[in-house]
Amino acid sequence: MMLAIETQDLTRWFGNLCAVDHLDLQIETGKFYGFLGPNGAGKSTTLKMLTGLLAPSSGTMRILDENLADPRQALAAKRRVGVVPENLALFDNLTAREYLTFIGRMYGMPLETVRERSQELLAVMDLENEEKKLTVEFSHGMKKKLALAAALLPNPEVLFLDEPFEGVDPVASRVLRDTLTRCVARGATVFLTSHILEIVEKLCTDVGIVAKGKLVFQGSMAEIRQGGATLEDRFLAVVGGDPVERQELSWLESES
Amino acid sequence: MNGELFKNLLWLRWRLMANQSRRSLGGRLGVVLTVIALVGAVVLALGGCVGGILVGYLVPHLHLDSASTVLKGFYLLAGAFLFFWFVGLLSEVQRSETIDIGRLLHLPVDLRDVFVLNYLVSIFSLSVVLVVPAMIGLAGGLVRSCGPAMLLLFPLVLSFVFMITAWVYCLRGWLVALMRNERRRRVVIATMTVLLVLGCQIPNLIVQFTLPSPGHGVPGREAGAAGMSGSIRRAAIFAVAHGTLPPLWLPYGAVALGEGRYWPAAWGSLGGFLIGWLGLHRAYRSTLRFYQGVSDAKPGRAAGAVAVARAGPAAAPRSRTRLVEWRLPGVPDEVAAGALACFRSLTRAPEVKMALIMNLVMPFIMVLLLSRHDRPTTASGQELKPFMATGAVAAAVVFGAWGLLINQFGFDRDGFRSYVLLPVERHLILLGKNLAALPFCFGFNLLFLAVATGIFRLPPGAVVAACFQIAAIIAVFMTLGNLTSILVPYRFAPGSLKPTKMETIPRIVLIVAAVFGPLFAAPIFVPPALGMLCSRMEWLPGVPVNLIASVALAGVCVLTYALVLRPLGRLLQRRERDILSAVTTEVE
Repeated sequence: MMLAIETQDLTRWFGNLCAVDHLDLQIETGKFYGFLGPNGAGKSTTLKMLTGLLAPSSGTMRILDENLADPRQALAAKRRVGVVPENLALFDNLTAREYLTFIGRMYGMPLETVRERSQELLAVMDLENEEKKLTVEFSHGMKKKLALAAALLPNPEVLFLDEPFEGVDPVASRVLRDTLTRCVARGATVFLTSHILEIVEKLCTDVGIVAKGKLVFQGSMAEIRQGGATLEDRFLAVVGGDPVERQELSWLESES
Repeated sequence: MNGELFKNLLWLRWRLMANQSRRSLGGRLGVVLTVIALVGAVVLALGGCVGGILVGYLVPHLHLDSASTVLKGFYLLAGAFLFFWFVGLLSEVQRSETIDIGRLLHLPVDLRDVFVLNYLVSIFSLSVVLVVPAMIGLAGGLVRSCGPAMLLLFPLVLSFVFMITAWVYCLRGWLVALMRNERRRRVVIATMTVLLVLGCQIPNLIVQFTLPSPGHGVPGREAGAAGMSGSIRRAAIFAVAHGTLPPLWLPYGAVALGEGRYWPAAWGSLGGFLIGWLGLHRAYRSTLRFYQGVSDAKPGRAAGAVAVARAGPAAAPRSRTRLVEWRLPGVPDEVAAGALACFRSLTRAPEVKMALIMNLVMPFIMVLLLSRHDRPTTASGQELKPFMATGAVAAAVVFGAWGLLINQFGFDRDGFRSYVLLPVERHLILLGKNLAALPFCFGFNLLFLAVATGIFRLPPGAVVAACFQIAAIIAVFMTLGNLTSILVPYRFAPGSLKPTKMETIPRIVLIVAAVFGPLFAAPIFVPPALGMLCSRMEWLPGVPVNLIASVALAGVCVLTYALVLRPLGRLLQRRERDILSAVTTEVE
């Protein structure tokens, strides 16, 4: 099977801190891949390097067999990829529809297609009534939905999502989950980072866990579930999350 | 009133200021600099007070007309106070870390106490430290030198300060309520800044238009009569203005005291305190309404808004073509999309509007001032007219368009991430950005040229040549702007064009570009110089030479722009991650 995402010895240093340490990933097409890890583990840094937002210190990356080190191939890969980055990528002074039009035309899509898809995406994301609002006036959840709509607009083969469910209300979260499931069903690959293990457990077919920049586990959900374990059990086992010792705070239990 | 609470709020104010300094200046150095600034402020306050006392005391010994001196002194001090106070208002409104009641509501504090304390704490600002001690000192000195009648200056000064601070506090509360909406917030900040700048020009314009115009004098007896009636009219206007405008009551009362009239100072003090109390009362009521969630919107309007919102989904989809959907002739679709989206963004950004308005103020004031001077009529003056047209073109780019071009990705802020993610050749992105700025560049140039043509009666030949010079200079500055945008990008603070997170090299380059950037406009002076040379040497008539040379220059510059666009695109692709880290808010 063809690999959607492949990294070899991918490393990124920030001064003396090694945020990503010789990461080797191999993700096949059509997978719903959850990339997990505690805070500061290197998830977002990895995603930024894979999407071209950050240069790696060393190592190679390939998306859909395109080598990202080659500028031409990197552009070719970008044509087949949709991204919802951590800090989003919206223009403050455009409306949702204007932003989608801009993105669609930049992907070389015909204007009619852009219009139709924008209309549908805005309806699905419940943003169609916000016609006059600029994105600077959007709530965080609305911005996230717009960023996802922009990522879906060109119907990408690979979707990169950085914490897509963070700060999103349950209704929008449900819409996001359904949309992503449909994407995978049609053969797209989804690579997402998240802290919400329950959602990852429900959605993902495969999981990678990083800690301190290193890949400490990679496998399918079926492998994780063997023996009745949950994703949380496996996560805590591999990242070394011991139960927190009881602190003093005894005054909390006494009357003031 | 709780003394501990007051001390605590003062401490909070100090900590916010110190932390902000530490964050913006870096580490302990910031705190040290803040302490130095505070010590400096105290020294300045004491210096101002002592200086005021000395000036007041020495007035009779200086053999000056004491009334006139007092008048000028208090005009200056009142004007300085108003200026600094409004500048302070702007920075307070823009600052996110102020002590607002919303952050204290959950504490066991009475709202009225918090309000009064908040107001009192707000008074301790640089303008009060700098100006009020000088006013008090001057009043004290005048009491010593001119007698106890001058004691009335103390309540007059205090009422002036109370009136201004109370109403500005009220205004600030109103602005904060307005700025709950992010879009309106930025418009408010931009509008306030423009008003401040325009307000500062008013004295200049008043002076220019109340003084006799040079070269427009009327000879003989008529001149004397006209001058006398003019001065009587001005005096009448000044008297009415002093009696009716509260900010002028302080200097008016001081002058009247100098002339032995006490009532203006007494009434001015009483009126100032009353108006100040009204302002504070209004501020308190609006603050209560704001924090208790009482909407300013009228019920009818609110109901209308709800009705519109409900009608929204049922409304038919709009079929008209939006600006961002337009196609631009002769350019790829990606370029058109980038150009139109960027143009839309720029026209909606209040900070850009503010910058544009500021730049429009310049020609406006220039027109007003230059229209009062004689136009060149000599032969040498006529010979210089093509240079005036070229100068107007150069000034338009240097004062107007250059600011939009020097850091093009800074305007995108987090939106620049979109460009990095897009599968588009980077030279097309650059072209789109330049096309977005083109209407502004051409607009400025044509405006400046039209103003120069109107004032100096420029010949048509020079104006047509200048039109080609516009094309040349825009191509040069766009190339230069692309280069600086790629090599030394920097971040603009949200809602303003203030550079932030700027490293040393971009800072130096920015200064160098601001100082030496105008030199790149030099080539467009070559065609009029050639024209003048040919005309003086009697080789050829100057006008066609200027025109042909301008056309040739425009061709060369546009061709150069086109040739270097692709290499600049490759440079952009190589540096786009560095640009991203420079212009976005992200911190690794």
